[in-house]
Amino acid sequence: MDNSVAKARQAHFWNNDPRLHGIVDNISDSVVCTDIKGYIELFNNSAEHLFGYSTDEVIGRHVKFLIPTNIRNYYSNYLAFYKKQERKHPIKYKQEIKGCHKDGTIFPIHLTVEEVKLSGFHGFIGVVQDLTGSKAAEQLVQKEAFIQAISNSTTSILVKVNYFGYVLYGNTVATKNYSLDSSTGIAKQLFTDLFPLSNITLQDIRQTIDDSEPLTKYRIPQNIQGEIRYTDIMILPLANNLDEALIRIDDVTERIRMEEIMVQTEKMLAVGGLAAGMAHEINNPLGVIAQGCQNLRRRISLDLVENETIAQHLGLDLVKMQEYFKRRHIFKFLDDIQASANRAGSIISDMLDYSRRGASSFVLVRLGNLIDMVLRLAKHDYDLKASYDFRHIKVYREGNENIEIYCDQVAIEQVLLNLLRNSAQAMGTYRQTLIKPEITIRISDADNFIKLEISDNGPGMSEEVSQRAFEPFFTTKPVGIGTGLGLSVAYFIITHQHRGAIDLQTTTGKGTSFIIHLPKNNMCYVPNDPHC
Amino acid sequence: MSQTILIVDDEPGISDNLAIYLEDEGLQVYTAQSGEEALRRIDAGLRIQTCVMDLRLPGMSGIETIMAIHHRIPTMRFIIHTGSEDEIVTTTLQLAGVNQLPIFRKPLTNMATLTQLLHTYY
Repeated sequence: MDNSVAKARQAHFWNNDPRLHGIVDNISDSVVCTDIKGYIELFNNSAEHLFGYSTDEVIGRHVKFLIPTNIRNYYSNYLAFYKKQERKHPIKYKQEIKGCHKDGTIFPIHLTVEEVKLSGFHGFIGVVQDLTGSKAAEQLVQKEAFIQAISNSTTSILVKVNYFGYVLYGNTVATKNYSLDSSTGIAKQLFTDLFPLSNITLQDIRQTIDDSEPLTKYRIPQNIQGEIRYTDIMILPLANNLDEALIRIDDVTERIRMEEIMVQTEKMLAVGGLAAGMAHEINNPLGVIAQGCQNLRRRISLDLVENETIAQHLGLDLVKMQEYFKRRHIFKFLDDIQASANRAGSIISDMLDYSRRGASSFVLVRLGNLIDMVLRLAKHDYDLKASYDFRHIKVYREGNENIEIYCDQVAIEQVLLNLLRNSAQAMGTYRQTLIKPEITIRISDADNFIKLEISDNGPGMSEEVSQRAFEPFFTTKPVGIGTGLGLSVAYFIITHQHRGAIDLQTTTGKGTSFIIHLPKNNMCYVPNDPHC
Repeated sequence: MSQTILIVDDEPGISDNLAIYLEDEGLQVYTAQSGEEALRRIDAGLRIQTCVMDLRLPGMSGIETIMAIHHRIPTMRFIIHTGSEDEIVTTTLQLAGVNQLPIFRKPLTNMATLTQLLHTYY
């Protein structure tokens, strides 16, 4: 705006009323009137005295030079926004801010601004009180220090923002984890730039302030120091008439992790608890079946002298009787009965693995030794029905096997054996002659965790299967092979007992990788098992 | 000399099948359906070298029975045959001085493993 135009306007409004002139000049508070764009039209005696400028120097200039540079953006933004706003937000506020003297001194002031529409004048009237040396100013300093101390002692991230989304303040946690500069950053950094993953929009902030209603967003992923953490974010309107809001960000990763584990383990614990009670009752009849079969088989065989003796006594031809049994498939029935008893027995035994966990002790184990042991076990483990033989699978071992970790050795061995068995079975039934079955066991370091990957080049899993893979009793194998508990036992051991994580990545036709993260600092951890 | 064995199990299906199998192996086998019965027979002069003992029994438990027999005949060998998962058993008994406690879990799908062990005793 041209200076002379402003002066003309000022002259029009101001000098035409000497009574007003007299009143305004003689009140003790400083009065600054601007037009709707923020250009000064009136500057009374007290204001001249307070800011060190003469009226002639300031008339027609934008009011922002009276505000210290580091918070100037805030106010010019406000003004710009105010003008654009469709539904006029009341700009009737009282606040304690800072003023800037001509000589550069910055001093505390109390400011009241009101939009005024009079005949011939439409603009803002600002009334400024100097707070220098006043009790109010001292109290303000104390109050600020107190509030800062409180906000710095919390583990939540606290950020104060203005109506435009600019950050006015951040507590220690905020400045430590984000590139938020609390000293020079005032009203220069947009919250949405600093917290790009917060899922908080400028619209959210404004709505919260307009409605004076807190707004919460749950489980928002954040990148905190290179790690994905889940946060709950709450926008709280500040009841200070300043159109500001407090944004509180709480890390709820642990809680979410616990919830997920609880959902998964609840099912498994139910299975485990049930199993412990039932095992005895079921194992006895299973024993009778299995042992009865074995006796039956032996007593119709040609192996026992007593069989021959009694048969001869009865005039029975044992060889012919055997031939009859073969032709009538009697031996197959016996095989099936025995195999079913075995299977039922292994289901019970797998279920008992749940209830057995807990009293275990954690020992320091070298990962290489652990893998040696598991591979030895795997080589003895074969399953005729699943038609796999571990010796046909090429096993690659990568990474630093000298890493030592505190864990329940037997449990982790069981997990790895389950995974290897799973891979071997998948590849055993995967008839693709061009691909030689391979398994890679890879160890790597991942901050506070040791990462163990077991990858195969088998058939992979469909999405539906991979989502349900860790579910108890879920199996894709034909009836009679596997109990459907192997992976859920692994899940339970890794997540519940070792506070780690197990995940799988799979591509149909390419293979499956199981990824285990085991915490390095499990040393002092005693698992809290509800069955103990 | 043939080995004599006492099987203590409240489930006749288990003790009978085990007895038949071991008899077919040429061993002499007796059965008892409770700890009390086992003690009664031992006190009545039954001479055996090995007890195959179920743990969950009506009346006296398997552990109590083992300790009572061990008290009478310290050289008696015990083999546990159980369908439950009482892990504290071995420690309790070892504290009582009963060592060498092989455990066979029910269902015992291959009884040959038991006879293999018994053969190592003689």
